Amino acid sequence: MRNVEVEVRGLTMQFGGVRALDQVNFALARRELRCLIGPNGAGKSTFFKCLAGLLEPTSGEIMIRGENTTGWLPHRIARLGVGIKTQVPSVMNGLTVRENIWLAAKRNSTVAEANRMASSIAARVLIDDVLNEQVETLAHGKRQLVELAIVLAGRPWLVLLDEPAAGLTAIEVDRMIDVIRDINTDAALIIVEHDMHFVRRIAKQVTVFHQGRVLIDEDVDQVMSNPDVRDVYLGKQL
Amino acid sequence: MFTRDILWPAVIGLVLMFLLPLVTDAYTLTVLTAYAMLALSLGFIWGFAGILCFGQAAFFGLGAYAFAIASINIGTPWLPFFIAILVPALFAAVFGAVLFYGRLSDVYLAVVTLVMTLILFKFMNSSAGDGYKLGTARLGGYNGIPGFETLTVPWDSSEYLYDTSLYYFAFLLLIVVYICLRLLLRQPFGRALVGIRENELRAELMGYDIRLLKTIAFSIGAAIAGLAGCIYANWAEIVTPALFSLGQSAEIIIWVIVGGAGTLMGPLIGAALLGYTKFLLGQQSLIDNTFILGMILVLAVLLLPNGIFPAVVSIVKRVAAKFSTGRSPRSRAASRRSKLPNKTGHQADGSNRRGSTQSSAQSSAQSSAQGKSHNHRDDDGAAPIDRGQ
Repeated sequence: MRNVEVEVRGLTMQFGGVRALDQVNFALARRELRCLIGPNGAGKSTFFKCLAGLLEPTSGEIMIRGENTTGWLPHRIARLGVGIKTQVPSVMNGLTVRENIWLAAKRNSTVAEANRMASSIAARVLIDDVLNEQVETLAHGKRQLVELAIVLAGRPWLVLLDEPAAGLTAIEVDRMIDVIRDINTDAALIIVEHDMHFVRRIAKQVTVFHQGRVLIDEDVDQVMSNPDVRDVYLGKQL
Repeated sequence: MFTRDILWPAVIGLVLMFLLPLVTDAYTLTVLTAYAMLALSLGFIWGFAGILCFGQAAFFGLGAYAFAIASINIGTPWLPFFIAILVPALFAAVFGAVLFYGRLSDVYLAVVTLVMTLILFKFMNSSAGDGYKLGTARLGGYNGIPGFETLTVPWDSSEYLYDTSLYYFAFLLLIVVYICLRLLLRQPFGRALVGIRENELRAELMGYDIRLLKTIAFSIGAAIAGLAGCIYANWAEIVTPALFSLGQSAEIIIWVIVGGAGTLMGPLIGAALLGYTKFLLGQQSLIDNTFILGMILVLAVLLLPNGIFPAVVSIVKRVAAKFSTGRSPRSRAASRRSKLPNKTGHQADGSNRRGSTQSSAQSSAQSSAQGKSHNHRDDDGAAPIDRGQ
């Protein structure tokens, strides 16, 4: 396949008697934007957490840019250049927006560079008006953007986003989409999303999860018109 | 690098160092300084790295014992001085690595560190007899180790540091350690620690190895506690297992809570005030002094949940804010305008007054809202990372 950056083979995750992921195979090309969709409990988030190192899979292999990262801790995966945004905004509440972004930027740059990046990235995701405010005082939508800025500050070539549109207003969703397209100009993205409307607006290629397996892996229009996908979303048994 | 917020504490510290002997004797002040140093060590790891160690007394005791044992074996006091810092630091590095690489956190960490202190307490208590010797030093069980060489003036080994000179030496060390911690917290390392305290998961997703950073912070805290133990050993001229006791461990945490966790100055103040109160209470027999200290803790937690120091800072800031809103440039300009000879002079004056009361009401509402929304670590007003004043 062309320029494969992420390759997952036979990924299985067992929680006691529940098999959340069952022999999942997956591949992501360079600078690709891929959406993962599926009904509740389909295994999207578990798959995401395995990629991010937040869960250790029961079996299977994850290769990121040729490195076998299966069982790596999140900080090692992050150091490869992978930016991760969790479902619930995971930000440093007691610090200001600038300090949040600065800390992320400082990981792999000098102090002067990090200072500069804090301002420029805040401008890029349009939160430079609250740069010196404490994150806990911000509304949910802004906090989502702060987290996105943190992810960008690590200068990732692969970005994993878990439900970036959750809880956002229509205007904030527009802004989020702009930011995602911007990120996509030089990085690949894997986006877990529930909101089909949102997916339709940003996705090219969509992977549908169902009961821990990949149901279909197609172009967005084909996925949307696929009767199986509709049935899955309506809760019909296949 | 040595900006105002480093310089001022140093100057105030030096002034205090010379003023405090007017309040009480150097003998009492020396032990209070050792306590303050000990509180500072916990204030650093708990307030800034989020590690609640219930066994900080263990490192204090280890420092004191290390000094006593090394001093007896070596015969001169200065090498043991450094050993007293190094031994707890190394012990904490190994112990911390086990804890943090084992992903132990929060309450489990507190329990394990507490148990470690109790094990040391039990062990030291039962180390009487000829079998328990390290080199030529007998551990001495319940009676501890007396009769070791204490610190001397570095250039004159016959001149001992005791009483007043020991007090000045200890206080200078305290100022140095405080400033070093302030500088450290400004470094990327210190900022990363605060980041970990705020959100471990995020720090990890940023690529920080939180296990390593926490282990280093824990070890630095232990080194400072060891230094405090060394000062204590030189003051008491005997080390006993009581240094490792449960009471000692609990007391350190109380100092930090009462003084203000999340600041560096708070723990110092907490330790000095409570230590001195305990000393004064010890001179009377009317009321049990643990009862009074317990009351102080309960009242402090209820009335000053952020601690004494942050409360004082926020009061000072509020007063300063009121003072400055009275003479803000805008209101001065407005009052100048109102003095202009025109017909609307009265109106302008009236609206200005209304405006200024509104703005002061706004600012006080804002500051009280901030006080409420902040957690216990966030209220001495300074920017969060630099807040330990």
